[in-house]
Amino acid sequence: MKKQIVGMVLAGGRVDELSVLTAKRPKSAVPVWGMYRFIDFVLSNMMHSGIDAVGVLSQYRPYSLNAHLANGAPWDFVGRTRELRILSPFRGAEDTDWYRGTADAVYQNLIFLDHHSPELVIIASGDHVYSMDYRPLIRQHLDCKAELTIALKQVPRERAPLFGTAVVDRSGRVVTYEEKAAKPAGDLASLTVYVFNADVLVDRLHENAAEGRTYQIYSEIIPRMVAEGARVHGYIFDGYWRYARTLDTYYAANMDIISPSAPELATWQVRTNLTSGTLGDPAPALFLAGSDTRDSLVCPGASIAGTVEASIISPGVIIEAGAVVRNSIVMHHSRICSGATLDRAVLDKGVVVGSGARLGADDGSAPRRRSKATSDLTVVGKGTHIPEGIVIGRGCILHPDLAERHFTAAKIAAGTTVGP
Amino acid sequence: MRPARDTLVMLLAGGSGTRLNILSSRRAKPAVPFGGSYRIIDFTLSNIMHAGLERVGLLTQYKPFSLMDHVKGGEPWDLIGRERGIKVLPPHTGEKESDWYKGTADAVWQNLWFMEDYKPDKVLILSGDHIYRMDYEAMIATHERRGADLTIASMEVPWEDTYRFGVMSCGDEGWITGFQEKERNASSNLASMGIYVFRYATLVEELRAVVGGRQGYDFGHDVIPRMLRKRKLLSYPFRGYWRDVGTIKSYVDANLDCLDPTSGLDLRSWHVCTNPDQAGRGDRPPVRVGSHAVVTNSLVAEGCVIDGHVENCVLFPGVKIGAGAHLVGSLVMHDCVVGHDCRLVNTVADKEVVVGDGAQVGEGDPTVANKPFPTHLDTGITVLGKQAAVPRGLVIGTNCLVYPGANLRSVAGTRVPDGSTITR
Repeated sequence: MKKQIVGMVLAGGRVDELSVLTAKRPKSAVPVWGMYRFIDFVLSNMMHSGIDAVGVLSQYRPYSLNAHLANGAPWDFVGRTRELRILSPFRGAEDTDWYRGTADAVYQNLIFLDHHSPELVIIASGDHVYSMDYRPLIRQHLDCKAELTIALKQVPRERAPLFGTAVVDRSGRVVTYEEKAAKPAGDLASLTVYVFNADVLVDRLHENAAEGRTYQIYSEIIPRMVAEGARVHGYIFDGYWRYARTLDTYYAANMDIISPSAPELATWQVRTNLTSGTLGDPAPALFLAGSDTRDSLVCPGASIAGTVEASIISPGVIIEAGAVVRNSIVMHHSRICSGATLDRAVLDKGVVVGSGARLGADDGSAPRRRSKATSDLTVVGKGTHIPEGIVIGRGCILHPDLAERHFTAAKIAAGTTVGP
Repeated sequence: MRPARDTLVMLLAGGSGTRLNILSSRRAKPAVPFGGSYRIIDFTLSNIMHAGLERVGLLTQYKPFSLMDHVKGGEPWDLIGRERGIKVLPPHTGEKESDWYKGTADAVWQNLWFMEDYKPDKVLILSGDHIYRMDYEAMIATHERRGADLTIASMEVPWEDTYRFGVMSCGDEGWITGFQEKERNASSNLASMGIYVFRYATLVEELRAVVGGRQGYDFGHDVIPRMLRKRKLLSYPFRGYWRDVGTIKSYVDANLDCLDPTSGLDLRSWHVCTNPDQAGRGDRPPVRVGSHAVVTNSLVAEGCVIDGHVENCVLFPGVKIGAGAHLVGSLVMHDCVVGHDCRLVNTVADKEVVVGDGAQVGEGDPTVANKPFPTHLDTGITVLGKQAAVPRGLVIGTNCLVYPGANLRSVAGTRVPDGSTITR
């Protein structure tokens, strides 16, 4: 049976601004909201929108992403004609390249489109947190007889330069599209959700492969289509949508879910891979006698004996008696030993914080600002063991897999990076 | 080679669990929810998985639908593959007989054809009714090493409980010399756990003689007593946490044991597995604990939203607890909604119960037993059946039973007295 539409998910990128969180995984595989990974949102959206053949373009350290995606069964992508394909770079007869950009990644996998020969292709980023029914977008695309429809969301003027922005006319047609312009003409930001007519996409990709420089859909293909008067339309989405380009925006997006205006997550029906190794078979969250938990999100398998305030607690996390976790994100199977305190800390998976250690301690000194991307959050890489009693200031970066011997001082000043 | 390879499991999951009353009125006892995320049968299935057993026949009879939904293809317990599998064996009509299973032995006998397909060396017979963690692999290995025809797992029980069990007397080295099934004057307090490892040839011969000869249909009553003296029957002692959870009281107690690993029931170290897709578990978000919530000594499954005070409770997936509500010693199952300023004490709420704002449930005089079911509810527990709706402000006493879907709006007055049963 021929499919009307197939999905392509852009999931390969890493961003330096997420610091040690992307040391071992692409951004799309970074945990968010306790038990999810970024890519779960786009895949759940596709599942709920009835898109059941999806290619995931993955390139940067794909092991954890591939393990998470498995065969796509968690998102119902298994069946006679349903599929989830992980599209990795490969050596071709002539092309022997890593993906040079998003357009190039799709171009190198045109075989996926040939195989399904769909009428439409939806291309979406795997890095965003949102719940969107793609069906009205697809309907509008067909009704307008568009060649390309871009999902857009109004953003505050001052933040518009961070995005690709569009100006649309009354009919919804995009008349201007600029990528991260210093002073953009519009305030409608692109959500990196595109519906293309498949034949148009194929033509444009061939053209871009021959003439491109950045090989990006957003900086080359879309501006060119608009400039050439192609039928590019905007679809306005006004729901919750977050990205995580920096540690601060990552943190803010996480904290949204425990804010009073949090989205109704239960209605989103986000799916994740519950059978993967890290989630395993978690027992329900255990709140022990004497524990105190407020304003927090707590995942299955967590065990809390201490105090937790305004924090995100991932599956299997253990918080011992007397430990205090505030304003922090603690990922899977990390352990906070008795008497340790965390404030504004982001802990990757499998971190151990020794008894009495203090992370994100506010010692009054201003953190040394390395760049404007630097944050006052203290972030700890996967599997690092923090010694007992140590005091680690705000804005520190601790690399993955550090052992106690890597910590030579009893106190680490704000803004310090500790590596192996 | 692990002994599990040549052992076939026959898992009896047909029990109706009558004494669990309305909790098992629409599902078999093995399918009754337990411990926040589980059903009772998960404990046995997880034991099977951890022992490396690969072939299982699941014998169903009483209201098997939730059970079959739950077990699905067996993937959650690694029972799927070239050699691994779980087959549901419902009662069926034979050439002559067209019968429901008349007893445990009859159920196995009627599925001889299934066992013959595998021609196993040994058969492990289990029931899906109990909460425990046991190493069947070690039991099978002992059975082999000692050259037994039948090995029965056994544990010491309080003398006053012996009448509920088959009890055995043992000679030296654990060989069984006597067996009494559910008798008032037991001569021993070593109880059979209903876990049997049979040599396959022995099993078939004995079933053919007893069940085939229409002399009896039950292992404990009929098959085992006949085997004494002419077969080698070995007792395999088990010392650990094991509960039958056959009564509402024991069911509640065992659930609350999950809160305290020193009780012997430790969900984490037991590594209990379940089917995560059941009840849409896969779509539920993590637990949300609100600003004024207090959650202490409680187990809380995914999808719960807590704004009230929860103490010594087990909350199953998707439960909402309103601000100012106070829950103590209660089990609240999937998707229940407890309104603002409610009190729930020693209460079991089955799935999708709605408790209106300000309602109070479960407090009163525990010596007033339930009227139609004095033996089911006489310890101070109130049970709200599936989808029961408790109107705002209503007070329901203790030892009360509210039937599934009952509408309490017709209740006269604002108080349901202790020991009441409301059926509609």
